[in-house]
Amino acid sequence: MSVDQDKLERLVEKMPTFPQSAQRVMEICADINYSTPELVSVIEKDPIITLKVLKLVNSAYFGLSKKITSIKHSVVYVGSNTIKNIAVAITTIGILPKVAEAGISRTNFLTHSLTTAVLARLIGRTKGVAENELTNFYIAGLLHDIGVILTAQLVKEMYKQAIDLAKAESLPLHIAEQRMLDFNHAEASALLVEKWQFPPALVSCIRNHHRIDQLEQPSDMEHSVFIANQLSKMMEDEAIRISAVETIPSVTQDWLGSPLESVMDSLPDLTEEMSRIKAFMSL
Amino acid sequence: MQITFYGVRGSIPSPGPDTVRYGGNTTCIDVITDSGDRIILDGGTGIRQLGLDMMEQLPLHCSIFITHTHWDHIQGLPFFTPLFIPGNKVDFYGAFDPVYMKDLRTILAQQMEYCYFPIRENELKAKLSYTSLKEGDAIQVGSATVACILLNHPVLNFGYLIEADGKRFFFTGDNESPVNIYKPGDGEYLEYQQLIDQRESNIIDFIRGVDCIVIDAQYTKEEYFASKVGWGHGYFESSIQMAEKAEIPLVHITHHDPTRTDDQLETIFKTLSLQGAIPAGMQVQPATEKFTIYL
Repeated sequence: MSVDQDKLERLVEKMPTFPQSAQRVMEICADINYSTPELVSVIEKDPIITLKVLKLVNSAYFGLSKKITSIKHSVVYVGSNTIKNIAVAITTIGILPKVAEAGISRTNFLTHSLTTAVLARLIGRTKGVAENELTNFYIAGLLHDIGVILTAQLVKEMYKQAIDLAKAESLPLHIAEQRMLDFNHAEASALLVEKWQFPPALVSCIRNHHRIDQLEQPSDMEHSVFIANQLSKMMEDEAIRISAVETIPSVTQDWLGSPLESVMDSLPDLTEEMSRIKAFMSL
Repeated sequence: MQITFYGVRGSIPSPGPDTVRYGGNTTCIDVITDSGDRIILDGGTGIRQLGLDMMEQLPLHCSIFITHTHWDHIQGLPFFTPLFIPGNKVDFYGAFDPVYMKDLRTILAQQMEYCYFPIRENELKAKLSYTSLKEGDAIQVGSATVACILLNHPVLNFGYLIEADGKRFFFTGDNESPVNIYKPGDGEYLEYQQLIDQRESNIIDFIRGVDCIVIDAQYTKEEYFASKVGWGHGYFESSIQMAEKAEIPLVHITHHDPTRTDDQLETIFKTLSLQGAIPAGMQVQPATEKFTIYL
């Protein structure tokens, strides 16, 4: 059995549209000179972000004595800087899927996605990439494996077998997928972000995240996401890892310059960030 | 009620010959009720000296209310000696941080992590308690009631109203009156202005007629409109107006900008007076370290 390309495309069609607002929120939040009216209007145009911001602002975490009824009201009450910072957390987490099939643990999936996102941005930054471009590194890291969830939804049982094969033979998941399904999740991820009209560079980065060695000249984003993905897998407990760590090709190693161990040594502790994200996820 | 300033500076300590008269320590106010109950507002660098002054009578019990957890309001806490003495009891109160999902204890403990400070929070010898406040909570501290209201700053900031022995005192912590984010011609201007007015009237009602207010005005009007809108602080005229609306007779202006010299501060107050910016019947003074207000 293989993945039916038509079915996959139909599934992609059924996925919720990625709100343009989510990307705009992230861009606004990366800009210290953002405009508050624009932030308000971007959030207001997105009913899901609006709902979640209001839910959080009216929650016990804020402990306000008045009920906040609109985004403008929330800005007047708790300030635009606070709203900006919760909106970006809500937006980031909101992009990721809510359910997972084929025995994939949602928590492990989120941890892997977020770790890759944080690391991709960090690696890009150490290589001198401009801050405004790093948002895309982060998004690419966040969404590089979203096709795993998508494909698992499509061919549940077969996907479970692909994961079992990867685990049993210590294969990277995409190799196991290729054998069992004649397809890999990088393509599914790419189809989805293409539908979401992400910039072409981000789409190719996601599409190529398991074949960087076949590229003529990988971009900074492609190198960063590739390395981040491997580091993120290395940080996982072996028992929960569903995809083996891949060798860093020499072209990426040369681009990085310093040995991977030195990147490993400088990694931040993400435990706190993860517990924060879990609190936001429960909204 | 006896209110003593131990720190009146905003942002960062600014010691030196130019700030010696008003003081260079960051925010800390000591409040003692007639029955001797002690409430400390904020733990900026001024709390170090307060701690030393408090050591004469041990063991001690005090309640520290944190307006918000920016550095200049918590930085002195690791040097607050009473925390190190067994038998003392210190109760902390403040907001939960909903952006980073951290409670007060976590935030305060983090500034005592090993890379910042040699003694960790769990090694402190005094008996400590932490309470996350919700807006409108009223805490009984001996003979006093301390109630909180959310003000406007880029992090949750509580203003605290202390009531004891028939007197009422209010401290804003850091506060900037919200500014309309739309221009007068914009379609959303009026709606937004209504929300601002509604919020302001809630705050004014909360503090109306208190005997004394200590209020943030870090900037001059010129500085504020040139480049400080949205930074979370008031300017002299805006703070005086707020006190006037709330019919408060005694106003101490605090959170002096770290670049402000004593001479400049005095010039500013003289000018405000000459320009008639100070309403009749209102007494307005710059907050001064070690100065005590008796209510």
